[in-house]
Amino acid sequence: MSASQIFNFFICPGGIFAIFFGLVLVSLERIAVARFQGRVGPPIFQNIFDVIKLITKEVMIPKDATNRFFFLLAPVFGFAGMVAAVSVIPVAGVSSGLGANSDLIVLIYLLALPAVSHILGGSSSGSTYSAVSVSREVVLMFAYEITFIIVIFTVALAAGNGNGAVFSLQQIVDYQLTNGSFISDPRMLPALFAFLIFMLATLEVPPFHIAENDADVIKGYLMEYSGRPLALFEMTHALKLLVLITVLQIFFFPGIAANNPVANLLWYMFKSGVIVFLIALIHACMASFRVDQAFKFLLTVPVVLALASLGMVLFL
Amino acid sequence: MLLSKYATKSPWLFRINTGSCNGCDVELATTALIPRFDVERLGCKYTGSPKHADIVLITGPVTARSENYLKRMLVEIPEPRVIVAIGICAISGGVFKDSYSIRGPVDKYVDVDVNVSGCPVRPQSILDGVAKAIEIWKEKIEQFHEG
Amino acid sequence: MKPKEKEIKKSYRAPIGPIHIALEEPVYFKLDLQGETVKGVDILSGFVHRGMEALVLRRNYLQNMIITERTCSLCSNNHPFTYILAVEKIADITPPPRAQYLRVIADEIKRAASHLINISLQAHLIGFHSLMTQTMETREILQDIKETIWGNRMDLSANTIGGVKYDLDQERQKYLIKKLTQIRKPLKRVLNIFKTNSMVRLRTEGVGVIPKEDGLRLGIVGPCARGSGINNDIRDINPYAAYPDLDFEVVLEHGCDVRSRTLVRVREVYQAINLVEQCLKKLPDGPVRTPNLPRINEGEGVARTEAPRGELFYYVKSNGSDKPERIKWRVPTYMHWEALTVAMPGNKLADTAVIFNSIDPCISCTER
Repeated sequence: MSASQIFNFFICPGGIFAIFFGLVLVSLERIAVARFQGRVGPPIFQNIFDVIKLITKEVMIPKDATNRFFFLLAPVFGFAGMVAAVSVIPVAGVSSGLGANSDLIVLIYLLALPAVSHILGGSSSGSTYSAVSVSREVVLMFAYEITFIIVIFTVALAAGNGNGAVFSLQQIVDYQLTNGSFISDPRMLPALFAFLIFMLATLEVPPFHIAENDADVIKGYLMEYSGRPLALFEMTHALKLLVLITVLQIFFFPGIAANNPVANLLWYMFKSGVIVFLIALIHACMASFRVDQAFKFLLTVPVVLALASLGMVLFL
Repeated sequence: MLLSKYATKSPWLFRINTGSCNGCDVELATTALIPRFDVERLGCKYTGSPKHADIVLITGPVTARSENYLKRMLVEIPEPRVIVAIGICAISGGVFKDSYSIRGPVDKYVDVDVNVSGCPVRPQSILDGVAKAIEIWKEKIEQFHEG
Repeated sequence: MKPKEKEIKKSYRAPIGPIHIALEEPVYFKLDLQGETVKGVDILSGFVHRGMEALVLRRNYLQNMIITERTCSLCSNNHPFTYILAVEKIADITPPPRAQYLRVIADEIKRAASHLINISLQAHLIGFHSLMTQTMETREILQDIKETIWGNRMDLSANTIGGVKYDLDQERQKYLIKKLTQIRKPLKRVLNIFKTNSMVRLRTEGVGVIPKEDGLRLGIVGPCARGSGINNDIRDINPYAAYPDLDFEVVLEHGCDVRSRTLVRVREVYQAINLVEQCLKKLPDGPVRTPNLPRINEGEGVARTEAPRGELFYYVKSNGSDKPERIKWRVPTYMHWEALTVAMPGNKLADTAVIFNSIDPCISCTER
């Protein structure tokens, strides 16, 4: 590992920067939603304060936890997956990620880890609410992963441009930097919408606020967690948001501002902010599906959209 | 201490109703939800799980039936925490004080840090009470980490 | 993961409550679930039992106006109001006409506020947080009215034996009219979303059905009954105070589901505002209460009124002393609990809170 790779992994754009920026993005989403509702909203560093607060709290392990070891391991599992994902993905014009040839495939696995850690943690905490929440998460995961995989193939094929599929994130970025972003390609627009729906579903913002819906399962899989493990979950969520936003940019608009890494980083942060703003807008003006309705919706609308793109990429 | 300075910017609120007439509860909801008051600007967030709670808002005069649930809930809330008694019922029992089914007030079961009086309390006094609770919480974090 | 999933497939019991974020008040449900579908529901109650029926016997008639008000804050006007109507029947007191109108004004303002909080909670339970905050913000105009005119945001203490405790002078009437015009626009905007938004429809249509026959059998009252097409609006079928002189139509919906109950409440908010405006137009001059302290003779009295949640019934028995011998009240939510056993089975777990909220439960009334 070279020094620059270590820097990329620990400081920027991975590691410390990613956690910090991810948490700010989560707060930004909360502020945007609050503003849409006419409220003031929390301060911009709110989620960082939340994490600091949780570190000072007492850690409690439920008496009826079915498996104490998994209960404590689960948050680490998801967090590690997301830290790895951040280091794998490139940021256009700033870093080239791990540069492995098939890192897109690795990403499919890594992105499923937070959900797996929810399932692991929720099911070992021995609470009924967690159990219900976990069963919902499993149902939804089946539905949204299909969309994600079709979108990945679409993008990989489009980046291959007739010469097979490209599974390297850096090459997808490079292809778009020379041939124009996919967002300007009408064939890819349905895939973009499908990916946005996938993002909403994985991030569990309305209309997919289901697995941890306050109204029936309260906090769901997070119900029994407190203190540091909960802080890890919070950071995992922030990193997941960041990874998804970065992947969205890599897939559809990796454009860079200048030949200067710092300028590119700022441009990347700006684009991320805009996406978060968009998510907040959808969050603010939607009610939530029920789990069966969401399952039906996720199996039809985004899948059809993604398949439409795939078809167009293959045959047009 | 630096840690307690930043930690207290994120108070998560948890509400326990021990048999109130729901006036205080409605006002708590009002305080939390409507743009005019908006506790989120103080960093507050309502949470449904006692394990996530920092500031515990207790309403109601503690009826015989909810006594055990109150005790059980209080065990589940991690330290350091601040207990706020909301409304006159929680503070003294209010008009229900001498009834056969009232076991309260709340300070029989737990040390109450802040009393917010009123029947029902006004949102402004709730905000004031939360602000006072945050001050007390700061001291409690420091004590918790020293001893 | 496999064993856990198998376990979930089997029928199991999920507790909701007693301290649950979706419930305003403590009540304990035990739901029999099969997967996500509710098979049966069992309600454990008594968490808010404060022994009020015993407490009222220890206090005199005037003190009881205060304590009945604390039965429940959302219908806090109707409890003392109905109690007072019953006492007035025993003492044979007729309040002056101005007081009758002022009683209706207090009643309708409380009704509108109570309905708004219920539909706002419904928006919260279907996950529509912006709608909830906006509905609450609209309700805040009503709270302002209450605080300005009666001096408290919840407990109005408007009524007294033989009349009312407050009066509306010109300035306050003008203020009330101004605020009521002010509320119409945001109210219309918010309520239109409830009527038209497709996501709201998706979550509420066909959910928690209480058919008309079951409704009649179980004796449900108030907006729940009217949502199932049953007219038992006490203001209409057995009018009291100034209602005989006022012009209004009973709101009826025939969908029998959560949505129709919501629509009944939505339309009743408009109705309430109309009624207040009518009252202000017709408000007669004169005193607001009878001049002397009442003398309550031996006797029995019964009164019923239309509380925000439905029919409220008070029975008062007096033995001639300054304390009542027996007060018994029946509240609307009591019948609705039984209706839950009809409404809940067959629905999804995610809908239980929505259904529970749609009967507008008032635990503190029911358990007293």
